[in-house]
Amino acid sequence: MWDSILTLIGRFHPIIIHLPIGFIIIGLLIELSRKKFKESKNILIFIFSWGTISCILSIISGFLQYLQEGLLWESIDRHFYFGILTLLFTFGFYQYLKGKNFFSSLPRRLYTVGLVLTVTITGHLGGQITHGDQYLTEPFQIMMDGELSNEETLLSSSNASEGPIFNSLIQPILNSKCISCHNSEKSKGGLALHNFESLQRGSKNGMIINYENPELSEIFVRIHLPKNEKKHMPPKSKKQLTKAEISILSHWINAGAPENILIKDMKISNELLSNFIKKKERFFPEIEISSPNNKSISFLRGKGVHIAPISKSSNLLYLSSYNYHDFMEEDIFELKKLSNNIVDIDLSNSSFNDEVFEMLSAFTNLTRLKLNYTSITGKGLDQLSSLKNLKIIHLVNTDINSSSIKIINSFPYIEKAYLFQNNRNLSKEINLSDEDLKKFDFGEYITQGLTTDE
Amino acid sequence: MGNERKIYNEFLLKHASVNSRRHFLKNCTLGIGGLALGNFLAGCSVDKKGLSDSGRSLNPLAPLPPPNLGKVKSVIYLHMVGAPSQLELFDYKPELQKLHNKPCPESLLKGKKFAFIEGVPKMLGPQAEFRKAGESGNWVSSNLPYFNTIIDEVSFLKAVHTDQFNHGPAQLFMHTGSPRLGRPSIGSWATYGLGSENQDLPGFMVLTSGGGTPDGGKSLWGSGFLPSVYQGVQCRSKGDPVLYLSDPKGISRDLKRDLITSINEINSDEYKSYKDPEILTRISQYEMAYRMQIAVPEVMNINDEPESVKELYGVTPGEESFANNCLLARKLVSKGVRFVQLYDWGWDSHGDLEETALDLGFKTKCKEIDRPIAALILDLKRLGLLEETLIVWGGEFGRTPMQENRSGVQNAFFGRDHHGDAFTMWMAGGGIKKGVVHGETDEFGYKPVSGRVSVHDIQATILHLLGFDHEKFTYDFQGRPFRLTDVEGEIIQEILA
Repeated sequence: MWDSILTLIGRFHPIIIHLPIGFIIIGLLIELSRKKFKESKNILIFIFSWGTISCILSIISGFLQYLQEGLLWESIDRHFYFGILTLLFTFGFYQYLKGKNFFSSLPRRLYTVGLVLTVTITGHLGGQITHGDQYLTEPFQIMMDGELSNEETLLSSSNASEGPIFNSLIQPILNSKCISCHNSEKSKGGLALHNFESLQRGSKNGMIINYENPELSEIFVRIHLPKNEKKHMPPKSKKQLTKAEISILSHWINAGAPENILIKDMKISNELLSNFIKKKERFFPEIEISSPNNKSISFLRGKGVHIAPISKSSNLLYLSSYNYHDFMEEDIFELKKLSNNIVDIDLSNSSFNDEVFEMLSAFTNLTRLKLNYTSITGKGLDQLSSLKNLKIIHLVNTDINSSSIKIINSFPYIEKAYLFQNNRNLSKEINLSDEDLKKFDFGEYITQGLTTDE
Repeated sequence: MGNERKIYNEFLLKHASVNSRRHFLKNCTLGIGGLALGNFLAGCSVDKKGLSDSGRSLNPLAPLPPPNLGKVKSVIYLHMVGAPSQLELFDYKPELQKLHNKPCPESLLKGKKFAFIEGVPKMLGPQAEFRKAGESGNWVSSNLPYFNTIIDEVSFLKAVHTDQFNHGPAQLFMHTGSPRLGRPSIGSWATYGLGSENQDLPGFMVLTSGGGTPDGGKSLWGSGFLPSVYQGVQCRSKGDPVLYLSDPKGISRDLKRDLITSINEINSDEYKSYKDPEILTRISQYEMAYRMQIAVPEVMNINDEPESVKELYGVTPGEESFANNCLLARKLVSKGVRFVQLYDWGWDSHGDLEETALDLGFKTKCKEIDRPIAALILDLKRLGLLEETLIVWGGEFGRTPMQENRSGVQNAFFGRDHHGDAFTMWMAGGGIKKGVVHGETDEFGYKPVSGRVSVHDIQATILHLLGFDHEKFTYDFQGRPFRLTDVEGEIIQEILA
């Protein structure tokens, strides 16, 4: 009985503490503009006498809460000491205002500044106990984590299935979607998921993995519940597990939630696993390059040439000339200034002839080149052999001949050349090995239906 | 004198009392309302996100780079209005044949509601032969004899689901992410985010192969709450592609230029004082129309295409046809048009009429689209455009494995009712795996067994391929950011290369 009453009083601590905070703040506000009040001294004495009393009540209730709720002394000690300090300042200021004693010999500002500091610090320390010490920094943490998390769950493509299942695959998923609430410092529901041991330990309600009935495991059930269900994890407002992540977690739990079995021995289908393997290298070169010459861009844009970065934050450029065909010397002069930045260029239907190759040979990062519907014959095409990134070349409906094909075939990095010609059959003019033929698309397709239905 | 003063004072008093009441009613209520309105309208402002203003100065269609590196520059979306039957095209169900003409098992009907089916309908076996085609060996029906030539380019989604089972809402859902009116279509989102690379043509163009407007109406390509400059421009499939393109008699092109320049100057001043994006729309529409007078007749003319190309598609110049539209779509895409939307009419195979019978009218429809679609993909491929273009094919939902019995009486012809739980769509082109099947339905093609994807998943995937993060691509309207995929949608990684 007595015990319960003490616990109850202790639990009133979070309410009672607002009394001294209120008294002290209103007192400080009056103190700040005390010239407006005729009788400020009496008012302040009244306020700070109640402030002192409520401080004492707060400390008593707080101490009772500490005793009754089994909190660690280390976790509340600073809060407690600052609470005492707040009481001292409040009581001191009260005595100062009454005058004629030791307290009134000290400067008035000592009390006001002291009260501001102690109330702030005590309040903050108290907040850390109830809300966790990352409560204020968490929003920023989420902001930063959100940017990073995506890449981390991916395996490198070379030895994807060689790693142990838990550390290579499962923990990264938990890291990206779970541990912001379930970690060593903040463990909601008593569950931490920052390593294998903590996961095995489970939550305050017991193990989260049911080895006998894997599909009844708490974690299994929670991630499969519909999103609107209250017990669904991660909570509706947080970033959700993807379907592939749910599948892989389920597969792992069904397999007995092992730690060190290699991924390749887990019988994960390739289709599922492919979601967790980094896609192979990018199409465009991944290089650090200085930002393009803005004057040249504006000049060419003014003429109707389309120039834009390949994506918002890239310095690599894509250029196309749908609305501008007759390139003049001054245009070429400006084009050359962008030679390092342009990776994707479409000069189809333009006035360029074979002289274009000399210009293009300086475009060191050029990856895709389109010269469809131009009058080029392929003379000087060999100047492009120095382009290390040139992967795709379009020469549809041009005047090129079979010797150009041989030159293109000798380019070290070429992946595809589109050589469809409306009126002639280029493939007949050349002999290539089957392997080499794969690089060329002569476009001689016909639509032919099966006759089974007629 | 005294009286005059009295009267004057009385007037002042009266005036004051009347005025104060009026003043309160008029000014204060309006004032308070105005305050609230101001707050409310702030949500409509585009300045906050600033896409239209910042990167674009006065041209709302100025091209912008995608936020992420996109896989494709253009999209051609082929929508079969009315919802084609997956069971006669791609989703082969031999088990269904065994139940043909037998009463539908109770388990399939429990708790289900259909558009027309009532009571216990009979099951309807596949009304087509199926074959494995291509190196991938994926299934396709004899209704599509040309499909083998392209089947290895295609990724099938065999377990798409939608929660709408009437045409209009389902079409809106498919194209705007919401079954109700008012949201921008996916093509509008794309042009809003990326602009138009070709300044002489709109970024978003719509072609219908006759038969009228789809059930969902022109809102299917509407711009919703986005500035109306981003709505799809519908071209007529017969006669002049755009009405009133040629100048009236006696009006020279120079005179027209001067006229448009002066109107646009006035409109620019107006925009500077009011910042209404619709004024920008007006300015750019005038400019666009002027340039389109030259560009559109050129690009929309299929007569001058080489015979071999006409033969490939099987076009009939001067007619309204899906084949013509496929060729036009290829021409538009090769001119830098961002989003081309094709609608084909007549796929609502209820079996109530000969035209909607699966063994009659449906087969004619298949013939109309089969060769053009194969041609479109092959043509894009040989021009090197397929790697930068996404092709999406589908309807607004699928059809039931049961034969429709309208009002409990079996329909006169073989037909199927609306069904949204599982149907087939496919994608091909840039960033899409070749010859993949994702998703599987049960032995009757009725329910998804695995690989279930939603309409929002498809939209998220299309946006992803264009270089957008569908969760970050938002527009502020009425006080909150809106997304095409609302709060749903997950990229379908399984079909991405």
